[in-house]
Amino acid sequence: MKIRTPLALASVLLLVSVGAFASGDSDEASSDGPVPLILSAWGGQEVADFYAANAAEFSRLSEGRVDASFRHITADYNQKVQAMIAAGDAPDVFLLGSSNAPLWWRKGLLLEVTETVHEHGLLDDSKWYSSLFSSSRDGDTFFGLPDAMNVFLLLYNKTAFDKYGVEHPTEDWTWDDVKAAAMQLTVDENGDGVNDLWGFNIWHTWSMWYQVFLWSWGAEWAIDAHEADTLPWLAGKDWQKGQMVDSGAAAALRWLQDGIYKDEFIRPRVGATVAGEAFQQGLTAMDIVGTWYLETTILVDDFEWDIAPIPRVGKGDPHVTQMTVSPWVVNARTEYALAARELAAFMCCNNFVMETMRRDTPLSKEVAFSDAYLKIPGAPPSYQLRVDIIDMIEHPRYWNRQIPNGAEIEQALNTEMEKLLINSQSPEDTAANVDKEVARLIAKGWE
Amino acid sequence: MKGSTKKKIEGYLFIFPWIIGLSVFVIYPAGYGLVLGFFKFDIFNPPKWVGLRHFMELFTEDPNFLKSLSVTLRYIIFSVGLRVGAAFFLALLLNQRVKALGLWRTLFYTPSIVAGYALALLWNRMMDPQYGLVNVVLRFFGGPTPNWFGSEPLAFATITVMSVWSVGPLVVIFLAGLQGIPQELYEQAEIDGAKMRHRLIAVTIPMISPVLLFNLVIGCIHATQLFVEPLVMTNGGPNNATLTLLLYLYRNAFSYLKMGYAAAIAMIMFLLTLGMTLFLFRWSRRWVYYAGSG
Repeated sequence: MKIRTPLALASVLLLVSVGAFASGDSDEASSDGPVPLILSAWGGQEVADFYAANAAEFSRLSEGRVDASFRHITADYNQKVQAMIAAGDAPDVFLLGSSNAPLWWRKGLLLEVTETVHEHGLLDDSKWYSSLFSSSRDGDTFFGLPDAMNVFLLLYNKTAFDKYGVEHPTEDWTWDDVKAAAMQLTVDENGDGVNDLWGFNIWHTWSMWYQVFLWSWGAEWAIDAHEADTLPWLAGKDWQKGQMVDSGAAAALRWLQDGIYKDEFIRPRVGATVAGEAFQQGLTAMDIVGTWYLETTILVDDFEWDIAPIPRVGKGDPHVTQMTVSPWVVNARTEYALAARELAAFMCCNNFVMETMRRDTPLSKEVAFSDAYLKIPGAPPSYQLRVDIIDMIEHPRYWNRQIPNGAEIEQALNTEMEKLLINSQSPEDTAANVDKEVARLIAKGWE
Repeated sequence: MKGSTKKKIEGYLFIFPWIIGLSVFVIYPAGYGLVLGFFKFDIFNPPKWVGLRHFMELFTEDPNFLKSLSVTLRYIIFSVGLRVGAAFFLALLLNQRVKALGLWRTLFYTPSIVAGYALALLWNRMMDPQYGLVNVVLRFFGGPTPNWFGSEPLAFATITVMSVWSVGPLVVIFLAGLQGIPQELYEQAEIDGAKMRHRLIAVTIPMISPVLLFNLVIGCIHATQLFVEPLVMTNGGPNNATLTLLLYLYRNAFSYLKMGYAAAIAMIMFLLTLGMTLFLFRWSRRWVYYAGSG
């Protein structure tokens, strides 16, 4: 199904109508030639080609008024963009991790895009997943336009489930169900003392994984105290302390620790490498993953797999997932503010861009449910769940750092979780220590 | 113009390009980095003077820094001992007249040319508790198969032992030193009835002591800069057991955007390196023998 929204055309018309390329203000360009814009993002070569094509399409639609080009930053992305900003040579528009965007905004590095959001009607919830904009929002001000979203789901190896006679996960699954299945699926087939398959997996040293896991246990880390649709990450209602103790967190932590040392169905720590590849190698039967991981899992042909909602504590408990949204942001020092904002809007919300992306869920509801997005060769039967889950959850929860010292808090969470997972600290102490660190680091304020 | 003055000018002219490079790319950034430790700086906004605040915070309020300092010091002691010891032993072996000597020397040097990141990934695989080569071999011989990154002491030990992997350059330096020892000394010792052990203690070690000092100094500096292995293999964990000063500096600079604080850590690293080097040189007066010094 081919979908056309007027956004692209509107973008260009808007630019023309407000004289974006004429003169004055900051945009002003030039009668000598098109406005040069640099777009940057991370990713592999395939992704880079995709962004380069988007930039070319934006240039084409501008009918010669804009010459947007893509500058690929392959590694050490944040550090390089930081250096570019410091040197005055940063891209006009660039993708920024949601975890860093609030900090960069507070440091005055990003241009406000509030008008752009309103002008394009991006807060119309009937057409867009508008709540996603909250992840790049400071009060009534927007400082980024979401690229797309990722949600977390339960990924399971169907072939292994069938082989060992375990029923497939359902929407009603609880963590008790996961444990029962995982114990059946932890198997040493040839009796050599090495498990050929583990029931469940942890993504060690990755705080985001811990957060979504803890939320699913009812740990009330994220409370809608700030904005009805913006949930602060990790902090409690008063934004002054953590929320580990007052919640189901201790039970969740106990489940993890017992899963490794007592019941032995969780694959133990293997260095710092993110363990997601273990599922694709057929070493683990279940995993909690973000939807970007599905793109490469589709290429696996050794076994069949599918996705299910993240389990809960009780069957009637609300579904939980976490959304990660990386925004397109505009460099505060760009010479072409208006054109740059429109390029960001194009990257965020244009159908040409959204229809060709595979990795993340697009912001347009129409595109998200379209065949162009969902009918992908090799996709599992429940593939549409990656979109449906957004309507199944009561509150969207975002991974961002709208609290002071977010990166340090995240590191503190990792460290305390490590103590738990090497069995040197109890779940109760882990919860208490995380809360203590969160409180200490928030109290230091924005520096 | 006198000949000696002319020669001096010529000499300076020859080294002028190098001095420019050193000043612009080494001395200025290093000096700026040290000064930055007294400023609050996030790379984007102008630095703000904070005096000694960062240093006070490091030593009184930051347990992660103290842990990283402790990890780095322990790593220096253990890894330098291991590396220098292993390099000396290998150099002694490679200094023998055996078949295919060139091949052996190449084999032992080769790991040193592998990029640190690739090496760390390789070791990560090798140390996998279930499927890693190390545990597969241990299991085959009925030995214990520990989770190498599953406890603080083991993770630290793994990173430390791994440092022996790249002793190639130290071996080459030792070899050069060994080959510079006059054979007459060994012949004389043999005539005096010295056995291999005695020849090693009475001839080889004293004669190679300047090289040993050099390798110790280089080894300490190298160990202070440990970064890639813990970053890739453990991310400093578990429980900061492998959090080195440089890794902590990196986090502060690029994850937390605290460039001034990171610069303060850099200054402490500099002082640590300077202190170690001065100590080694002072200590060396007691055991290093310079054959040409009379």
